[in-house]
Amino acid sequence: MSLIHLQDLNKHFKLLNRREGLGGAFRDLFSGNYRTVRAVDGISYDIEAGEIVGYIGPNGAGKSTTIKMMTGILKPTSGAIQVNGRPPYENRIHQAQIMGVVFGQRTQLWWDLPVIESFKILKEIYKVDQKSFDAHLGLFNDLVGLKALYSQQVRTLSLGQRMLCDITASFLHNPQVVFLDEPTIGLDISIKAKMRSVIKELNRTRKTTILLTTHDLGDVEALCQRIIIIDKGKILYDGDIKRVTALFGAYRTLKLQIDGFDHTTIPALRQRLNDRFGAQAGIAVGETEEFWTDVTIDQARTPMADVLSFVISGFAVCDVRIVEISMESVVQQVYDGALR
Amino acid sequence: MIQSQALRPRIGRPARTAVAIPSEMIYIDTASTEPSVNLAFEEYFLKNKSPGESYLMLWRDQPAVVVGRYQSIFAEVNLEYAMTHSLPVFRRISGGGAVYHDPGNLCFSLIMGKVTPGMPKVPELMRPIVQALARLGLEVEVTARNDLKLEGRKFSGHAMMVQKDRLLLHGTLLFDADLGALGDALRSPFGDVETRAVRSVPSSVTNLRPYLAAIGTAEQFKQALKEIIYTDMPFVERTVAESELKAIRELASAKYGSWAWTFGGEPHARLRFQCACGEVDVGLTLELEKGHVLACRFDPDAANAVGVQEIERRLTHIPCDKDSVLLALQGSEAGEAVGRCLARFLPPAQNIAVGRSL
Repeated sequence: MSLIHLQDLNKHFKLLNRREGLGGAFRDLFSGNYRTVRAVDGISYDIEAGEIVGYIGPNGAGKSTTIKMMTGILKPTSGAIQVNGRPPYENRIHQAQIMGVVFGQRTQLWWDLPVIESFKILKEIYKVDQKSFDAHLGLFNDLVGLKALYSQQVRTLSLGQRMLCDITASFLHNPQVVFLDEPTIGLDISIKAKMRSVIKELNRTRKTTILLTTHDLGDVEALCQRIIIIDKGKILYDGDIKRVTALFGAYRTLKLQIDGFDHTTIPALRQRLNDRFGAQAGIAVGETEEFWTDVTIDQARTPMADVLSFVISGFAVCDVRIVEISMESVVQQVYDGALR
Repeated sequence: MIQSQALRPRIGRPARTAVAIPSEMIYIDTASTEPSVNLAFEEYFLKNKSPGESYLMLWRDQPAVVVGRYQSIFAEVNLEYAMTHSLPVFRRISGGGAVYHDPGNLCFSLIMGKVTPGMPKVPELMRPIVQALARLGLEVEVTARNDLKLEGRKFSGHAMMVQKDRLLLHGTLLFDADLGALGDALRSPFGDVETRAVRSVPSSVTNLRPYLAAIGTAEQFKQALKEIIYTDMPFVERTVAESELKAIRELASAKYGSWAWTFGGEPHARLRFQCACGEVDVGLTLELEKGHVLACRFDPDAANAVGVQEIERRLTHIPCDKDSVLLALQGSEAGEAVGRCLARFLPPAQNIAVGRSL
């Protein structure tokens, strides 16, 4: 029996199509005109104890809705969901004992209390004995060195410090499964690295199952063997991360600011690159930000350095950034059949 | 020429048949200013109509205090003021806080089928009234407590309740109500009552009249609102059938005019009294629920005085009204002194409203 089991799971929300004006306000009350949004639309998968699964997809894909159903906050519209053999929306107090959750956008710590007081409250809520409590805080101190922060009020912490404390809190009662919803959002590289090492260590030593949703492909690459890609409420891919990294790991995007940018710049650049490297070079030119030209390169086919030096010699480039492929482009390429 | 063109589409078109569209609204004129009758109108149309039917009522009341379903009248109302000013007290079926009614306070009720699963969102429910007031040129702010305010002062309170598949939203609009009486009537002499009952949140209030130069009286305000609503949401105005009216009047007197509903619906509360017993002031705590005294305790410093235990015993398990208390304490001097002190703050045995013509 797998730890988490989803079978044809659906969550539909009804949203009011508001009508204007006084008459509309009355009519909305009397006969609401609702549209159905299928936030989660018939997904099925199983997660085994001890796995770290990356759950990725663009904004509004249905990631958080799925997590809210797994944690029992939302009840599915239809379909089966079981965590540790039980539907999570039933007997929530019992279920809460076996799971930990971090929603990156908000904290479960008490804003005005020192960090350690929040931990003590959670210790009482989850009935953690003193010995395990001390051992847990000791372990986290060894991993990330948080002790100095424990006496500070939560609101005085930086985002990264707060996130590390939130992670500490979510593992406090030694849950079987921890849901991490965007735990690295807005964090800098060094904190991200700490976060990843903590998660990895806990999974290794305690066999904690981890479901990680993220926008950051780097997180997934560093932590997960398995990746589930969701978009518009449906599963696009569920399988080994290696296939995904093999496909997208080689991609880098050059973001260029070109002097005298206008509507002719991108077609011109596209043409020149095509002339120089050929149609099979794995180079795509586009625009995702105003005044920035994106050149996405498959490094397996064309070295980025060649493209960069060619562009710089031929165009008045005044600024350059190099970024990894975005979640949105991964999803787009999966749609286009990249993983089929 | 232009006129005839404009008229042409009507010619030959079949007359619109007056089929009742479920989503259309029916306006009910309660034709009464008796609070118990108007409260009964609401309950009747909430509980006895099919889910698809929507009703609007605009009405005004004679002076009265109306408390929420789960409130303690002792904690919310100055009963001494109410009794000396012949101000009746009523309990409504919806929750929420205490409100003061008088002819300057326009009440509205919207009764309809519940179209969403779960509880409806209050801001959504308030949109019609906010929009209607906007048409009168009032820029109303809706606070986090769902109060309607103008320049930071409240002029409208609301309550909502769901009964099976039907929903009642009602509220008050202070047009030119007696704000002095409002303040006096809603100031309980007991101050901090120990209770789990719903407590009203005192607010600084205002009438709408100073903001509406074109409207002179509350009745004109009612007509203006009615017309504005009719323009955008045409309603059918319907008179109430004699049989319906009979049921409503019956409900008004049997329920809303009854002690059993009004005071019998009291949640648990502890009230502290100071009684002058001869030369000394003694403190006394009454523990009340459902309009009856559950327990009665004098403060420890008076506990050894002669007759105290007898008074405590006599007051326990009697209805908490003036007449019952006076009767129970008859016969001893100390008891009668305590009785006179308590009686000032207790309601009569009959609801004040009973006996008035409905």
